[in-house]
Amino acid sequence: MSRPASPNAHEWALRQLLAYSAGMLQEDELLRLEEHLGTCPDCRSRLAPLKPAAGVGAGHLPASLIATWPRSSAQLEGLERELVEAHLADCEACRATITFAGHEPALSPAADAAARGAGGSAKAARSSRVWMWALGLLGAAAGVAAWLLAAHPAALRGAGERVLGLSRARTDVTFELALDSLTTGAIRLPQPGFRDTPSRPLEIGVVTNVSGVVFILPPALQPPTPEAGERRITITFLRDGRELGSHAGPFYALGDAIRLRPRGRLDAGDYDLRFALAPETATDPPLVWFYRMRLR
Amino acid sequence: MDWGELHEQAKQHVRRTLRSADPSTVDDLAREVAVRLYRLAQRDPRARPGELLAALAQVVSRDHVRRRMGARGLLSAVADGGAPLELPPPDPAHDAAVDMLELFRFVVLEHFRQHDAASHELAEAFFEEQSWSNVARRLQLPTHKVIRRWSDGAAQVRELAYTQRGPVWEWARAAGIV
Repeated sequence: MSRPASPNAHEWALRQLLAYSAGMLQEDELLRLEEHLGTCPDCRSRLAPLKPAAGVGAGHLPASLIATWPRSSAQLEGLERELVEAHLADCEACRATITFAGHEPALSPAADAAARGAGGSAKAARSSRVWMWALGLLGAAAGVAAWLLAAHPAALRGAGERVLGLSRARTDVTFELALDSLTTGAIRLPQPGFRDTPSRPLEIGVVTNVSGVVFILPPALQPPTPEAGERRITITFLRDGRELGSHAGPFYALGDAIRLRPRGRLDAGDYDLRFALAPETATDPPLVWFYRMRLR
Repeated sequence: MDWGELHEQAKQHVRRTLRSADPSTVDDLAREVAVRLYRLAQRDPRARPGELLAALAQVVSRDHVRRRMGARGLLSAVADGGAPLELPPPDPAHDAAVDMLELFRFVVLEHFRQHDAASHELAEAFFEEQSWSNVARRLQLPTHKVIRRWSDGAAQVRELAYTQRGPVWEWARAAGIV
């Protein structure tokens, strides 16, 4: 006969149910909770309504999202928006369901974009006033960053890693910052947006340790103000979600172009280059841009 | 099948269950009922949506009450059996129209579908509640390795959740699931 769960174990299990239902528990927690579920009818009954609707795979757009599509799809941002958009492009069943619900099977314009449109002119005017003197300061700052990187690469890398609290070794690729944008063979990164879904990667060619690959940064990846330049930016290069290299430092240090240099030759395939800019205030989420790139 | 008529009937059921709901909420929920019934009919031509309407309207209304109670409210027991339900006041901080847990699962699956086929297979199995031993047998791996792999995939998503903006990630962070 199964042993009844202790009150403490039950309280703990109740707190984990939502994360369990989302699939987000760590291995030890997962095993402990599944053991508890085997003996606790109360937890099982609370878990039941959280399960995916019978018969409809979790791999399709939720019915509640489709029912409120015009306003709910407008709220989606960043990666979640890209994922929904890419799914919609591939999934005829979801497009048909959205049409059935009486809506256009396309994402509504992002709510934040609309808001930006409303207040955009004033913001642009404010930005342009600070641009002239900011450019000079940024140029100098980028020069200092380039010197720091050349003279003390370990110190700069170490500082970034301490800020992020990361300690794992990352030796597969390194980043060189503040390069000349006229570097031969440099690839211009497009202005980040939500239209470049992972299904349309940048074609990069072959990347080796001899010259690496240089990316010219778009305006969105250059700080518009000195204050913005002080924000931390983290660049991460990934393959299949696995981090091959990362750099964290001040936004201004990126300069006009960056070089990504692997240890040897990078295997052919798809990679992701992620830029995560720290938020302006502690309460805001960071801004994140992804570029998918295809190497030969 | 007259879907327009079915939608109207769904509205009546929702209105009976959630008497204090405003007309736009009733319309949203009735549409959600219709979407679920449509999917059911697409999947199984023998299904009779009309017969499932009342029960599904009750489920959708109950789920909406839970969503209005916030993330922790999703675990609350809500009275069953067709009686009218008390609808908590709307929280101006978040729209309860979308089932964020379901959307989170979708985003996880879609992320893996596009980036990591092995984790996608595990995520599908997890959300379909397949047993670890069945999945391990199919993948010809020891069970503990399958669980470890799934857990590693979840760690990827947790890391992603802390670098992303948007309602799904914000909900996941606020609910403490990542």
